[in-house]
Amino acid sequence: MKKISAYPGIIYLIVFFYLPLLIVIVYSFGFPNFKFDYYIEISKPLYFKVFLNSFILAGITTISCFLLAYPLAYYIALRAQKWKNLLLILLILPFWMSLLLRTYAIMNILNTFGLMFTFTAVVIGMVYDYLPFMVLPLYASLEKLKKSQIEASYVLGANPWKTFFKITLPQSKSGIIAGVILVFIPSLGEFVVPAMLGGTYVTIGTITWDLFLRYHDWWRGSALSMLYMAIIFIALAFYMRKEGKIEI
Amino acid sequence: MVEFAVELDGVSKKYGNFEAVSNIKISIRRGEFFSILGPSGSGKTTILRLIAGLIFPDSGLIKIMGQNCTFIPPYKRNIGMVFQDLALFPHLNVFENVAYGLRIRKLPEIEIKRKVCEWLEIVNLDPKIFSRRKINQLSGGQQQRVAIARALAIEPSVLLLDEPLGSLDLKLRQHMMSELKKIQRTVKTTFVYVTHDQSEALVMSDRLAVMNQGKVEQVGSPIEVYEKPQTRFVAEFIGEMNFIPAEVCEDHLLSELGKIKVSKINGAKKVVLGVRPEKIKVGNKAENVFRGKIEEVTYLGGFLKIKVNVNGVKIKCITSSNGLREEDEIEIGWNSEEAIVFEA
Amino acid sequence: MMQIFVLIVFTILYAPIVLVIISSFFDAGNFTLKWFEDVFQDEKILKAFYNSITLAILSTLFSVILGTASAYAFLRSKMKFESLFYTPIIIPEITEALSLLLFYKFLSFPLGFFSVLLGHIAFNIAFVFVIVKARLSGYEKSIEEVSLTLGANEVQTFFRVTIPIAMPGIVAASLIAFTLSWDNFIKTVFTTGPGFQTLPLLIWSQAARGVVSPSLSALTTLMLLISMILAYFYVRISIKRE
Repeated sequence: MKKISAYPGIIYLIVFFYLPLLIVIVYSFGFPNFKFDYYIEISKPLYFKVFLNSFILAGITTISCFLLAYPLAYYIALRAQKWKNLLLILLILPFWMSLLLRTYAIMNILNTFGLMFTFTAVVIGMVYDYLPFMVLPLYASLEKLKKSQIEASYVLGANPWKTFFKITLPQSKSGIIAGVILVFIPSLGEFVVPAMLGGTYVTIGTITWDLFLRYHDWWRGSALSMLYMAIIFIALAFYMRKEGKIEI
Repeated sequence: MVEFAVELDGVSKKYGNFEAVSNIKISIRRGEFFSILGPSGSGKTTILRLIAGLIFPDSGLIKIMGQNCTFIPPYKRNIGMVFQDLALFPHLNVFENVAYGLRIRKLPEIEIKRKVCEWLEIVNLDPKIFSRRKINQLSGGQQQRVAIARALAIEPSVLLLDEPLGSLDLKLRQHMMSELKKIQRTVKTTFVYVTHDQSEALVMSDRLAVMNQGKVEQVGSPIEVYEKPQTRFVAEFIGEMNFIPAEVCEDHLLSELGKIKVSKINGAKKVVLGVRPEKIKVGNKAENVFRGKIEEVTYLGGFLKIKVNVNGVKIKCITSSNGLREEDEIEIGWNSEEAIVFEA
Repeated sequence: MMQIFVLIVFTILYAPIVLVIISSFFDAGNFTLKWFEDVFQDEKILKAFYNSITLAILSTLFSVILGTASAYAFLRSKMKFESLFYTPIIIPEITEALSLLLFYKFLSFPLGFFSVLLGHIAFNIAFVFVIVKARLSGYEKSIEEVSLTLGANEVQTFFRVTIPIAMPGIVAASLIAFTLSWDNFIKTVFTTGPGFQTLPLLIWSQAARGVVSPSLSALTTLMLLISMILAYFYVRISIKRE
């Protein structure tokens, strides 16, 4: 009886989410023909360069986010409850506005420093846009860490550095993995930031845009997207096998 | 005028392969305080949910006030239910919680107001103070009272209570027990009370059913169930009892203690004799007397609990005689009508 | 040390936004509201604003109804395949956007307001589902059962008990759904057709050329304001819930 009320939602998602994904697969095999040409083509150096670009950008973004986010998350996690809430709200607040607006905002500053249309500009934009996705899971895992554990480590004779590497870091592992996934995967396919700030830096996101919206090349575009999705699912499957489930 | 508020006739319910209750026959009289007592997983909550109509039986008949309502949905049964977690509505204040069933029945506003105040007073909550309170502003005991008032406000044919006192601390629980009994006396509604706590069942009930593994072991008044348990399970679950394995030999029993006289025996050859610790007397003024050595003495304030080793069988007794020490040799005994013979 | 670091990070986080807001109030060093006047006199912007708000309201409305009904069903009747509702959150937005575009092309569905709206609803259903389900799972089913014993049938119980209890979750989900739709760029740009433009698309069409103009900053400031108001209510609700 109650199950019926789930059907409209399920049917909606099947029609407007799962069916479209199926059509991408169909196109990637050369609809209305059936051939593997497009998959072969996207494994050529031209596209390989695009994937490499995206991986480099996503990698640098992820590492930079991590280096900034870890001390920030650590700092917030050790505050009193009242301050924690305030700091978290302050952190999340800018993310209630769209990536587009935030990237537009950062354009102003990059313009002032004459950095527009450089790789540096793209990295700055990416880190700016993705930082909270790293901070929040790190915070969540560090918050569970008790101050007494750190104190116990001191009492047992470990100095602050040893304590950090032996106590703090291992316990935030799940947060680190979640943060890396949350930053790395979407930044791999990011379009807005490289397109607005990067000029000629081609990534998976910008080439997908070009293939679909400029050249209307559904077939190459579909094959490329399938490859991108495959990478994501392999990464997620690997993570889920290790951790059992995704905690966000 | 019907005699029974609730009748269950051969009711069974399965969950997959698990038989939650099987072939239940219980008749609950109008206006009585009836408890269903059993360990967790014995099927007592299932019975309550069957009476409420929250689940339907696989077989059997359920009658409420003489009418067959085996497959009638809960909202057409006119029963009240107090859930284990109380299930108070967090979005409504105390007044609106109690008024909920009355509003569903579309009673006039004046009537609702009058009834809600009346019921709040019956459960000892001052309507002037508590009406506008939110649920999370109430103590555990006050929440119980609201849940009871809400269930009673619709003037149900029967009130079902599913371990409602479980979450309270001991003192408050004892207080609420006498309070519940008092409320039941005042409103004269049939109460069906599910619990795993024997003291709750013994103190409050007019009659109770003891359940085990989906079956009813015994139905009777608290005195009957305590004094004359029909099965070994009932004897073990309610109160304490010494069990002595024995064999029937003509009109008496033979056990490791020796020969035991009994008032009656059943057909079985191998039996277990049950004697409550408080029925065992220290000294030799009883029909069955045995010598043994005291192994353990526990002072319980006013009386002693001792463990006596008689020929390797450990017998627990409760006695008020002072001056008993561990290692003492004593005589203990009981009269034949105070022991019960169970099948082994 | 740490404090200075944190201070710097937060400054960097807010500086661009604050600068956009400031720049939208100044013309060659003088305070002015003329950029805002420009915004309100620009037919194109007003039309895009109207489109954005209609889109956000309708997609919120439908996704909240569908998502809430599904969340309730999944929670109370132990249905399988719950992950059906999580995939849309995990899949990259650009993939979802292009799949919708292909879907519409495949069916020759005309691109415009409806194609955008249908896509937004799909994405929002998943978010509503997750949020409302989390809220409802804080209550045992006994709360609905007690209503049944008090004489309310299933439909009455749903509207008098389930919906009010889920309300904080529904409001939070609505705010998120509205914001996601209001700000959405990628899915909108892939599924829109000629003649249907939203505010993010308008900003994109100018900003993509690297143009930073004061009237664009004024428009951005106004959009920020709306997002911040939504965020404020969201934070208030989630704190109250705790």
